[in-house]
Amino acid sequence: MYFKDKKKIFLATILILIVVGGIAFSIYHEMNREEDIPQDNTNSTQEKEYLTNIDLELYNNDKTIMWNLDSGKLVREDEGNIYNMDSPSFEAYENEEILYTGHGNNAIYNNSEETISLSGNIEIDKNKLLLQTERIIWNQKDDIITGEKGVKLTSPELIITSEEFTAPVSLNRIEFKGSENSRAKVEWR
Amino acid sequence: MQTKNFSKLALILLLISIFILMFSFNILAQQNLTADQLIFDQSEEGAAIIEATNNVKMIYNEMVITGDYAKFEQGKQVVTFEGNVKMVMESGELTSDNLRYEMKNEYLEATGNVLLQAEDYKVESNDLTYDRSIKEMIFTGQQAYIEYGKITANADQIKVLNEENKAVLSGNVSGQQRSNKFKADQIEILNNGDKIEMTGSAQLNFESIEE
Repeated sequence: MYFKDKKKIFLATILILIVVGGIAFSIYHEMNREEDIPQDNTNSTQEKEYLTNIDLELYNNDKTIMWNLDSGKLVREDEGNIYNMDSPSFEAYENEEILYTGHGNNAIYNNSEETISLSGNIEIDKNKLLLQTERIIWNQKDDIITGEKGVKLTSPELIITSEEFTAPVSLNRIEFKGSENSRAKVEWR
Repeated sequence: MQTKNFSKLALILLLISIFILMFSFNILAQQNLTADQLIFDQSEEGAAIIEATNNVKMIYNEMVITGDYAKFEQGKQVVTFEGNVKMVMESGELTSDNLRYEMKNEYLEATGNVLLQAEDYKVESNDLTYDRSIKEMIFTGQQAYIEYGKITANADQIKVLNEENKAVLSGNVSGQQRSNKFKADQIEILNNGDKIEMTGSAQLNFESIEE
């Protein structure tokens, strides 16, 4: 009866639309606010950026050799116990003289275990030597670097291949180990 | 029809020949040293020094040398083997306690319980020097011993010249051909052991034929 009046019906429809629109806008606004929360958390973003600007410096036990480790992306995990790095590159110095340089696909520094492990297409340049492998681990407790999988040392005269190697941090003397199926091998170039 | 078959056959033979040729080149080109463990070090001049231990095997210029331990010095181009050394080469199979090979000069020294087992002869001594470029072997030390054809002999020095199929024995030579004994300052064993030439003070003792 009351709604028979067309003007009143139109007015009621407008009112309903306004109310529905208002509610919808409120919901939409609330959802946007929720999405914005992580973006507004500037502290964590700043922490990651801050970490990427740090050069990680690692020393051997007698502090004669230093590794300067840099990465395009560095993520701090486990309350700073683990540093996960993408595309790491490193330089080793002995008494400020460069010993060798290297790079890989990924690096993980474990502070509590005192190990740094690099993996994926690792290449180390030392004078005229190129050492390639898939994975290396530097155990800072004994200052021994071990490498495994696809180990290859190329010098101007020789190529050495093996399954794994161990060496001091200076990489002055490298021990290559083979297995029964695949012995360590030297080939003359 | 016959021409077609002949062409096919010729093509197959050609391919087989190419394969064999490439395979041979590959074998000849092999130059490597393998071991359970290799230690890479560098001299002060930066030359590589490689120490190999356990199941050491080197393939180099148609030679295969095995031993317990080997040291390769890149600067000097010298490889040294120690312990149960065995070398298989064109002249036969050589075993010794130690072996030193100069790769550049193709010169070899073997010491301790040297034994060379060749197709036509066998020599035992304490020391051996072998110049591969002229295929000359000199065996010395504590009465070197040779078995060459029907001849067995001892001498202070035995020189084997593979190219000439002869051996020259010098210094306190004593030996036996069949049942005939001989002594001399120097003898030459020729024609794969069929003939002996003696020089210097020589003495022959023919076996008396008992009737």
